[in-house]
Amino acid sequence: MKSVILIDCNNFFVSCERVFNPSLDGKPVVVLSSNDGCVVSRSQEAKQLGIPMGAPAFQWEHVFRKENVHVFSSHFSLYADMSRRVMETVRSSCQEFDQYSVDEFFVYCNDDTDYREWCRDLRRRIAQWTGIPTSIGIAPTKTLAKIANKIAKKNIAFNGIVDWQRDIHDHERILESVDCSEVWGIGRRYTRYLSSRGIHNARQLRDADDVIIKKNLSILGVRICYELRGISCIELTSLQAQRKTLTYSRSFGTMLTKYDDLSQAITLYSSYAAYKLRRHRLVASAITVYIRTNRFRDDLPQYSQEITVRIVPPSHNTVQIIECAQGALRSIFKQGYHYAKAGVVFTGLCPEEAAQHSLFPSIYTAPRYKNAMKAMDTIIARYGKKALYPASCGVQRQWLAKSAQCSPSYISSFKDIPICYAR
Amino acid sequence: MAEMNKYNHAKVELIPFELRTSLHLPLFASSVSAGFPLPAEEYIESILDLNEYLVQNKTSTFLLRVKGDSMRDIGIFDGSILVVDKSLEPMDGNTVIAAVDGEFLVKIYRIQGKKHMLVAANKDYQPIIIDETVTVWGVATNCINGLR
Repeated sequence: MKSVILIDCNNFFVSCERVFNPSLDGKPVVVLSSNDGCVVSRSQEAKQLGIPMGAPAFQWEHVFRKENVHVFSSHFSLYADMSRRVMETVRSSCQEFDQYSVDEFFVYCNDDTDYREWCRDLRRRIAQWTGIPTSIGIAPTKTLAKIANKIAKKNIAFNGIVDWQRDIHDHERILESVDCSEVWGIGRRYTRYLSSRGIHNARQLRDADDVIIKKNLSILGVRICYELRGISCIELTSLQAQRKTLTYSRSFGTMLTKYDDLSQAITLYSSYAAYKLRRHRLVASAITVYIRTNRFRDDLPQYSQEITVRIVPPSHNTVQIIECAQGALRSIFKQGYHYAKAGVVFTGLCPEEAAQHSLFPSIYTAPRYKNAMKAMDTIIARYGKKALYPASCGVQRQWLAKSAQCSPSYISSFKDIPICYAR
Repeated sequence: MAEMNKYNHAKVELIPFELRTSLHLPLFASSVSAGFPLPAEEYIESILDLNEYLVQNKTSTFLLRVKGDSMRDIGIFDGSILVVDKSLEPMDGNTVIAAVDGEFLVKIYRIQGKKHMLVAANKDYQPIIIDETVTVWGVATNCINGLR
């Protein structure tokens, strides 16, 4: 039997901030999404104050003030660089691993000997080299490793490492205590369906009838069940259904006439669509941008236009795609019309592995951009796409007397490197 | 995220501290493209690379700036930049960065029998005994003092 080791950074964004600012240790700290919309990372002390994940910042402002919570805006370039360092530390210990997200790494072992000592050393090394605390789950499958990891996080008695086979004695009870929605790969829609069939927790899911699961949750659902049973079958790079295009388009609530408004909308749609590309592990070689007026308002002048621009090299990077989309919009926008709808369509889709060996290296393929995308995707996956979008989408209303600050550029600007006192 | 400047081109942010290996190409054209053998070519050695010199473990190395002059006796001044490696175990006599009362301090690490403590270069300062409230953050391996 083989084993899977999942290494997961604890409260990653907050932990990154603490590495360079020891005055935050032991204090309640939260990091907000990039538009300061909601809480995306909390220290243990902040969790104990009852601040939930995804808490809308404006609703909790009074708590932040009353309890002296330290509030930061997301500092993506810092988190991206720290993620790289954690990844390099993992790599110094083992050759074969998969970085699943900005703060999660899967290591695969060909047998099921006791790897806890190796994990203890790795955990110590990551903490020493980077200052980032981690939790580790060891199990026969990825899905179970995720559950083991969660237990390691919640119960400090395990000292950060849980081996599903050796540290957990009552698997049934643990699986019963895990809600379906908490199982890796089961989202809201599947949870609702399962609940309607009387399947509420991971044990029931594990024991569910394969045929019923396959019919309603597709092959992905069946794989999850098998993984819960200890049979490994989820490949991180498994083939997706071959998509030909990927679209994001919406009609506007009110008709737009100004370029700036359309520009914000296109930026927003582009970033949502780029996120979808990344989730499907695809890149696009072209983007079509279209805008049009309301066909049914024949009292108003009509205009509709679209343009396709190439994305070179093929990419799913939000920043690069927004640039292309903005350029496209500029060339088709015409003053004097009431626009009712806009959209972006990606074409020329190919798997992201195919694009990695492009003949035209671009600044956007640099690891720090990839890691910044991973950081964004982690937030979107956990809190929904509204939690996060680039600044060019528009400024949110100022709800705080003092806006949450981004921490200094500790590792990217000489004027901001941390201070140490000689006294 | 990269900001947009007024021309709506993404600004490239300052490149984070990283080890860039030298290219090992001479500054002048190689004989292949020049079409004739260059006399000194076979004697060209690798280029001096400050990153390689200053940084042994790029994964765990960070830069900090010094404020104050308790360490001037060993050549660390107010405004010096320290190259700090978090992966090293502190040894007796090493210059270290320690987190004390929520601040980073630069001190000398001393081991006397079983006792581990932090002292300043200047004897006027009180030593700090290492206990649970004190964490050694990293070992300073190099000090950069600008002269102008």
